[in-house]
Amino acid sequence: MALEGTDRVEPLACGRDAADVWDHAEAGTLDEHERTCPHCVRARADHDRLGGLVARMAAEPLRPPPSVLEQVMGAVVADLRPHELLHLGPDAWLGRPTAEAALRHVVDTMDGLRARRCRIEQDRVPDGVGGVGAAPVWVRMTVAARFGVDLASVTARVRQMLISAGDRTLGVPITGVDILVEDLWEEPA
Amino acid sequence: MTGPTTVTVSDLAVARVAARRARAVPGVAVLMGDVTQTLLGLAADWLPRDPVPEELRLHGLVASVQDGRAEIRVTVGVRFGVQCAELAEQVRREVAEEVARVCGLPARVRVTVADIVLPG
Repeated sequence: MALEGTDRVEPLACGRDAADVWDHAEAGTLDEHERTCPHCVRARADHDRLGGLVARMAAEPLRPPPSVLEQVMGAVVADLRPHELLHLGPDAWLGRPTAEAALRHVVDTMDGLRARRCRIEQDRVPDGVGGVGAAPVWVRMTVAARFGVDLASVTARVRQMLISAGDRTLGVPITGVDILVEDLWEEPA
Repeated sequence: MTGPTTVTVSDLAVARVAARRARAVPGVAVLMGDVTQTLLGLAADWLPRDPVPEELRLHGLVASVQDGRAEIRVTVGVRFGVQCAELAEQVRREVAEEVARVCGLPARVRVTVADIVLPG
């Protein structure tokens, strides 16, 4: 399912836009529907979980010195080819596999969803640009969902979570999100 | 040079100054060397009498001084939750300022965020 721009936003199953619900929650102007509707409540829960996670991780102390294995694995991670880099700004880059792993992690924290594959495509940055900030990207995410999860709502929530994570943890504007629900799983009773 | 004394700052000295500053930026979890740097660094830890040139042990940072300008490349790992673009910009700015202050050299700093340390 392709979702793009702000003009073609897939609403939650109840018809509300997840972005509006988040805005209202932050401004403290939730209406009666948004307080009680299960879709809106779930959209807000996603938001809170991401916020808590981001704050907690950012506040954690530094890790102890790495082992030999960690050093070698880190070196392999750091050996990036030019096509594996996302442009973050003048003289600044971000490893694409790393960014993809971070977005998969964000989806994994959502209730009833597991991320499978993620692909980030960045528009070509013209050479020698003095342009400030990162060029926009397009995200393709493949997920598996739990039975009973409302798929229309889920895609709206995933989209909102990814755009927010792109903004808050990567610093890359996400212009579009393709979500493929590839599989469903049933929770053992 | 017109004066009787010249001072030249080596690549290694610039790299040390830059690495120290880059590590001190909040949100930077680790500087990440590439495969060559890491293996040589490990070899230096294990073999006696330090057969590895010192500059290769400056993990995750390469500096060169040419024509009175420093070129610095630094590769960092950050913790999840830190905004990568802002952090990269902060590392660029702080390292360039530090090299200019300590070594008296204008510096161009290129930053790559190669890893985001995820929770769990």
